[in-house]
Amino acid sequence: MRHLTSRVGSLKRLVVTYPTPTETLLGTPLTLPTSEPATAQVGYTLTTNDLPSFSMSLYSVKLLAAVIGAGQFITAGTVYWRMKKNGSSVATGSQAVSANNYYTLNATFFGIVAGDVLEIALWSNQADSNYDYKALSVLYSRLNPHAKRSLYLDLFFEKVDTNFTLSLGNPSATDTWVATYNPINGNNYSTTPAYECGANVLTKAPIKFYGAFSSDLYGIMRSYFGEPGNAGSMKTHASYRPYYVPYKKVERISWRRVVGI
Amino acid sequence: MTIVLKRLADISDPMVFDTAMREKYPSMLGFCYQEDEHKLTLEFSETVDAEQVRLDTGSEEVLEVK
Repeated sequence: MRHLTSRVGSLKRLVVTYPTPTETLLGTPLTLPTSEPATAQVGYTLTTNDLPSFSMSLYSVKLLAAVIGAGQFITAGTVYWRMKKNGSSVATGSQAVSANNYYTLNATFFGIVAGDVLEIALWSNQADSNYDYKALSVLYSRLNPHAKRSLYLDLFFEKVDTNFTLSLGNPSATDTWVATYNPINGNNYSTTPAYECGANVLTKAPIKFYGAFSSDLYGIMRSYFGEPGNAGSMKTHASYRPYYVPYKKVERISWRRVVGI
Repeated sequence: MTIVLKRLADISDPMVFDTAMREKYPSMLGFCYQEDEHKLTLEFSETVDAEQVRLDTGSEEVLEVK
């Protein structure tokens, strides 16, 4: 007879360091074209300096780039947008904008790496609307510190920091998005993850789970916004630009892994 | 209200799509089409018939209405 033995590994602590978001506010706004431009107004070529850094090697993790493009409409109309990743279209859309209102496109590019070229093209059905603001920040999702379907003990989300803070223009956060969760039931998760595990990492952090199986797909946490693919969310406001989605930063997680099961 | 649809065909020209939809649905605020996911999300300021929107957009399936 073969006896299976397992043991509890040593305490591991992951520290994630996020770069300061990159922001640009043009001194003179650019007039939006009235047809799709050949050259996107917003463009970033990602470098390692743009990405969060992790204090240990990880089994797997996905990175998401939050890219913002914003400006103002003088005459009421419609703004159109297209997101491109490495030259290929990944998402497109439109949004009605009231007269003298600002628009902000909150775009998320999923599964990015250094060297990727991320772009947003903007255009309008009015000749007097403009673009003058862009920003970039990178967060992470689908964190698997160890092999898939690992059992974690004392999984502790120690530090979830304040929102990304943007400073240029006249910024304001749109609302309190749920940005992360912890799928403690392995692959048995729902699309309303904050309720699935009975805990919202963001609003209750620091929070500890005494035992948790990682999900094959999502590991021990995922971003609520920006999953599962490339997408854009347009917000408008009478005075705020950028009017942005306030991602949280999960900065420190610790655990003990059960090995040999 | 927001309607999420599965639509396999890409939207090559968002301006043309938007204009056509606004003619039928003046309450449409905007849309987002995710090409990898084949997911079309439309926002309306008033309640509309999701099944009719599916037909009018040439979509395959209504995924979510909220």
